[in-house]
Amino acid sequence: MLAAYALRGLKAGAVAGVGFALFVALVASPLVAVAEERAGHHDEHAADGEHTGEAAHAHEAISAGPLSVSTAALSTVTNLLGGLGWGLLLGLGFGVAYYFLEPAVPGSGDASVYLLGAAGLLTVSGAPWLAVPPQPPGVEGAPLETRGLRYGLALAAGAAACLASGALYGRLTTAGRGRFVAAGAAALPLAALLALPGLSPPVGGAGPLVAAYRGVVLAGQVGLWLVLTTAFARLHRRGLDRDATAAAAPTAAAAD
Amino acid sequence: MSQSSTPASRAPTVADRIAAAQTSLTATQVALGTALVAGLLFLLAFAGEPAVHESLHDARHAAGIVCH
Ligand SMILES: [Zn+2]
Repeated sequence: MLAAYALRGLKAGAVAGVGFALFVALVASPLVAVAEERAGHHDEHAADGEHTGEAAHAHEAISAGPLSVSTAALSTVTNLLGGLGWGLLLGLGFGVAYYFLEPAVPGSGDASVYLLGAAGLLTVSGAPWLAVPPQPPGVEGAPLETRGLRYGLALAAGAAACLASGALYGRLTTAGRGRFVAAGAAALPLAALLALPGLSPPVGGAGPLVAAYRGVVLAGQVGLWLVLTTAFARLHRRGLDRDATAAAAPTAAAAD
Repeated sequence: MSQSSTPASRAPTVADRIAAAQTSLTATQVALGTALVAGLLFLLAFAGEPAVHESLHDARHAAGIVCH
């Protein structure tokens, strides 16, 4: 049964991954290119001198020659695959997590899928971003290893907070407490995550470009999880229907 | 695919699911899943070689994963 859930997760992840790959290519890449240009990473353009102003908004002007055009095309392909891979990774992880946690997640049916999806977004992105906010390229921060470590620790903290929150809600409702009391108590472990930004020194990076960049990144992950959970919920419902008809009398199977 | 036999009268628990997973998965499935997750994680989150970094730079930034 776990294999069926994992497969559902992979399928939903493929759907979400295709969408995210398009988002990477059409939205994020141009924004990253602009940020790099601002940061002066594109030496070719800087050396080019004349058209830097135009190139900033018409970043398609990678007209440096056939070689760089083909590397750009290759990097577009690999980044598309990277976006797809990110969706697959999240989808598989979500399917497996949903298999184990389905009995414990509050709500039933689609609602529990979306709730666990929200927990997934909070764990994989939300909590880590509190510790290591997404930075456009060119903004100097702590060394990569340090940031990676902080990201991982915050991710673990986010997972622990979500599990604690769910467990607390389950305990309180089975103990006969009201839903609102239980939900209020369950919010406490999540609120504790707000201490995460205090644990790492703030990095420089205000300004409209950074804000826009963070907004785009956030929207991308929210969209990814929305598509992922919607697709998963649909596949899961279909799978349950199929199981039910298979379990019922063989004559009922025709009813679909 | 052996249906784990939780009685229909009782709602399944997390413990049931863990027990069912231990009996229902084949070694191949575990190996495949682990390899897929490990490979993707390594590529997307940990691989730092310039070539890999260069080719996944935009995707990493778009996902908000730490990148240089
Ligand atoms: Zn990078």
